[in-house]
Amino acid sequence: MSCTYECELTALMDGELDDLARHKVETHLGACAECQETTRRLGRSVAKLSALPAFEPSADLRRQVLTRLPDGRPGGWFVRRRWAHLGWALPAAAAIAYFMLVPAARSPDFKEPAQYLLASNLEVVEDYEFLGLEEPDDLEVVAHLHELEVTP
Amino acid sequence: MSENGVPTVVQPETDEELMVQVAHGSHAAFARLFDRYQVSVSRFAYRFVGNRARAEEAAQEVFLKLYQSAGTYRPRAKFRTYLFRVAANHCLNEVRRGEYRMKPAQEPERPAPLDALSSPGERPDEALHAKQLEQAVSQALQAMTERERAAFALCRFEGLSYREVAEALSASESAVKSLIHRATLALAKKLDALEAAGPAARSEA
Repeated sequence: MSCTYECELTALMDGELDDLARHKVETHLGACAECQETTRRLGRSVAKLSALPAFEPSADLRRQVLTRLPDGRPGGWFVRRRWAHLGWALPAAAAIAYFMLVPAARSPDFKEPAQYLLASNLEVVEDYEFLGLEEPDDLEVVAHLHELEVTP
Repeated sequence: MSENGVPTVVQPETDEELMVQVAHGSHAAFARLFDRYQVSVSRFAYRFVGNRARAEEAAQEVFLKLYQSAGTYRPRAKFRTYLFRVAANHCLNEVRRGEYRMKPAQEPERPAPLDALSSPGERPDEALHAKQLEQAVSQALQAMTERERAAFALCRFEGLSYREVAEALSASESAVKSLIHRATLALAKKLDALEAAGPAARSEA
C-alpha cells in the first residue's frame, strides 16, 4: 500500500511545493523508509533521462514549414477562438454541423444506425474533454468515437 | 554605435515581440521563432507520438497552426506556454485520430542501428546501453495515458514548470502534479525492471 505522501514526492524532487508543503513532506521523509526509497527511485529515473541521445529534427523540416506559409497576414477560419473553454460550444457546433450534413437527421426518426451512433457520440463529446475541435475532420472523429468502445 | 563610440548592444527580440510581428504577416519573424523552437517542438512531438516521421509531420502542423493563430495571440501570455499549448492540443488530437481510424497493426518503430546511435568514440557497450535506455523510455511513454505522457514530456524534456504545464494542458496544477508523479513513477518502474533484468537479458531486448 502506497504512503499517502507518495504523490507529493515527485513535486518535492522538482522543487514545485510551496514552503509549507515542502516542510511537511520533508518532515515525513525523515521517518518513512518507503517514501525514502520511492524518492531514490524517482531521482534515479529522472537522472537517467539526461543520458538519452539528443533529438535532432531532420534538416528538411525548416524548408517544409517555411515554404508552406501562406502569403499575407495570418487569419481565416483556422484562427482559434476560445471554443475549447466554452463546454456548450463544442457539442453545439458538432450538432449544427451534423444536422446540416445529414439530411435524415432533421427528422427525429433515426433509420440509419450510423445516425444513432453519431447522436450518442455527441452526448459523449459533451462529457469528453475534447481540446482543439476546430477542423472539419474533427466531426469525423466524433462520428467514430463509438469505435473506441471496448467489447468484452 | 552610441554617441561616444561604444558599440551599442542590440538586445535580441523577445518571443512575444516576434509573435506580434508574425501577427502582421512577417515571415522573417516567424522563421526566427521557428529556429528557436523547432528542436523543442519536434522533440516533444517525438516523445508524445513515439514515431519520428509522425513527429515531424506533427511539428510541421504545429508551426503552421502557430502562424495561422498568430492573430489571436496576446503578448501577456508567455509565448513558450502558448506554443506548447498548440503543440499539446495538436498531438493529443493526432493520437486520437490515429486510434479511431483503426490503422492496420504497424510494426513498432525499429530501434536505430547501434552505429547510428553511438557518438564518435563511444564504446559498443555504452551504445548498447543508450539503445536499451531509449527503448525503455519509449515503452514507458507509450504505456502512459495521453495526458500523463504530455505532462511528462513537457516537464522532463522541455523543462516547463508545473504551472506552465497546467496552462499548456488547460489543467489545474494539482492535476498536473498527479500526472507527472504517476508518469515518473511508471518510468522508474520500467527502468528498475531493465536494471534488474541483468546484462544477458538486456542484450536480447
